[in-house]
Amino acid sequence: MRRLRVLLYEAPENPYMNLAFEEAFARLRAAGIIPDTLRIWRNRRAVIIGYFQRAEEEVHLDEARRLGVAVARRFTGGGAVYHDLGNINYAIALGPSPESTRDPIGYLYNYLVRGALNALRILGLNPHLENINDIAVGDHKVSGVAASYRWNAPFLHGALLVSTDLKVLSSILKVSKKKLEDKRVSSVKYRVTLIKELLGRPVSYSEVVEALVRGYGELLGAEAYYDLPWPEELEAARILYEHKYRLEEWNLRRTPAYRFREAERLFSELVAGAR
Amino acid sequence: MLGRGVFEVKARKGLIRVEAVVREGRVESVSIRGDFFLYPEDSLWMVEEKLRGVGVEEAPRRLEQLIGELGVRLVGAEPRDFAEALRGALRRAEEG
Repeated sequence: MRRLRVLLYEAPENPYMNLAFEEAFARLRAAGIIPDTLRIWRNRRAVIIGYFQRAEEEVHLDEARRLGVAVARRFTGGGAVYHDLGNINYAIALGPSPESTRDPIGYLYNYLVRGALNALRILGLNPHLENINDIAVGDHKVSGVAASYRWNAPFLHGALLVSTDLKVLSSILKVSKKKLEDKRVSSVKYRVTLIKELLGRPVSYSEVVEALVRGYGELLGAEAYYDLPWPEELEAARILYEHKYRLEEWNLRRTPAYRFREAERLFSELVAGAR
Repeated sequence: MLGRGVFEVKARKGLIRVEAVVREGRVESVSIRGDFFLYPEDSLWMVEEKLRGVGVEEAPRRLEQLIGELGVRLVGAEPRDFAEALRGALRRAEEG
């Protein structure tokens, strides 16, 4: 039977490290160094912006600073999200398959996202996909996903709003007037709710972890097993953290990924050595 | 004469915000920002780069062509959404 490695590795106090690890394990899976992996992780307080966004256009930076909320940029497109410990992130990195190679976008947004839908069903909800990358229950959004195949292997991550402080979220994220005006588009994005509200009871971290693990296990027809980070993952994360994710050029200035030459050089060396 | 303009277009999925700087009827620089999905991600920088020096009149059409030529794939947006955002930004840049 197919196996799915599960990793609960997280660095909640350091969102830059969390995102460096995210890229590390995605790329090491694409390079065939680690097996198929589902990672579940959290940040204590951070705004994560999309690869094509500019921080000051999406975040009230003074307010973020005042509240001690870090602003970090991820390697996938899409919009800004607020993370606290009530928001649980899932990330899945697989090897390439004939299906994912033939139609990567369909594979990511129509298929791979369904592990998270399974998880919500396991929790007792009736979720559906909306606007390509939103997961909603009724007319409220509970999760948003972003995906990539930039290293020629499928990668998808998303954020589950379990018990996030929505007051902080709305005081920190900027919303474009254009978006609020536009009636063509479902504004589910701006009608977010929490899983604990939908269920009418507290929901624990471990309950969500189990649901995600089962949800992805069922989707992939795989047996899940828990693992620790491999030395290669930690080393790759350290490289990407040091030479990219901790830097303002990356987080605040919308610098293209390829400009971080030292990160790329050291990462390539690590991959060559691991092969 | 140097002008700068910003314009936003809401695509089916995602907001496209283009900032353009125009000098003497040509694109000096373009920055395409937002919460859209575009693949391969790093082709965006190439599109921005290749628009430098293009005449203001033809730049939006050129942007649509580049999306095709570079094999860019959009999710929930069309090339014309990007062209429309650029057209708006250039118009504002010329208005000064």
